[in-house]
Amino acid sequence: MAQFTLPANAVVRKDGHRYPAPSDAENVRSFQVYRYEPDEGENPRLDHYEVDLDQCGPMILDVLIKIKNEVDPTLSFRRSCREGICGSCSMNINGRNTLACTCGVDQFKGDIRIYPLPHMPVVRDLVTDLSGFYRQYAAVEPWLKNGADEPERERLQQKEDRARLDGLEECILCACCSTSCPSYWWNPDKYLGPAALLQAWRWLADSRDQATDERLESLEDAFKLYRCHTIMNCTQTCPKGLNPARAIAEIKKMVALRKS
Amino acid sequence: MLPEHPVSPHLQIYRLPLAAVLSISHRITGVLLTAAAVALAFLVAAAAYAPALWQIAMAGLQHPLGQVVLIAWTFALAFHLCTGIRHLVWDACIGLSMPAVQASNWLVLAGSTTLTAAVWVWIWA
Repeated sequence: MAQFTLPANAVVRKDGHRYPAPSDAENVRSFQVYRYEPDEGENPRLDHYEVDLDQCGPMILDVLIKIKNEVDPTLSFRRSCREGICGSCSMNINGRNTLACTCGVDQFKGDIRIYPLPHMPVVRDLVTDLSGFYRQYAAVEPWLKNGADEPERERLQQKEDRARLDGLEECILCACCSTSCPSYWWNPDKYLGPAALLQAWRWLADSRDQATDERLESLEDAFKLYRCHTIMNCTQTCPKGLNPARAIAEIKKMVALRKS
Repeated sequence: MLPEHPVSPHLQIYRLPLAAVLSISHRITGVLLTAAAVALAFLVAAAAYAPALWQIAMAGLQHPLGQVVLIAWTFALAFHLCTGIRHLVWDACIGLSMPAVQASNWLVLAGSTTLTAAVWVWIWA
């Protein structure tokens, strides 16, 4: 049964630390950041950081790096490429999941609230445990399955067959979509989630793959696939502009058409 | 030993898009309509077996408050119908792009409001 409220150990304390901006700062913005330090034995809290935007880069990731470098080195978050291709800095910014590196501070007015990806086990601060998410990706067996003998050269595709993979293979596995999905929140262990299902469709849609029956049989399950109720949060939040909801609908349609 | 990982906030902090609000409303109206169908069955049974009870129910439903309940009932039915049709269209893989979803959000709301208004104009006219 889904638990809609936070368990006692996850309730966020409001009495976090406050870090005011330097007195000469003119363009100050306040950032409320979720903090959790496992070795303190205390509940998560919200820390308030005031940042001088005139002395900072334009993106949310720039703000976090500035805080870590100059104000509070204990703040933990994942980041790498800083250009929206590695998927490391995914987090919840003002109520929506996105990549901190491609999210401009100027998109928002007023205070900005930064939380880890929703309904995930928090390792520390903005760092969540994604191992369940990766297991789901592995469960769709995201590789080419073709029984034919190894070809002499690459397997050829028609241009239109290759075009079917556009919008599927660009996924960077940032987990923004899966962790935006209420169905995934309530069944994170049984529902595969939009990201894994988008990749399931990526291989079903591939003209070179021959394991369609096997893949569909594994997916046809009340929980793995059909917990998707087309809520559309996944597509709305994807920082790469992909459409997991459509991919899932395509899988459901393929299952239905095979049976008729 | 480290304490168990806390779960990060979800419903508490997620800013639900309109499509998600309509989705949960579809489910809530479905539950309400099921309950209302049971109530309707009792009402019909009352008409057959307990005319006095039927009279009381009719008086209640003609009271302004009763009319509000009936209008809400009609809206729930119209809304569930419209979102249900949208689900059928979606299942055919049509209208799943974000602009199409944003357009059909408003179409569903306008459609269910219009249907409800039409029913009540017809009843009161």
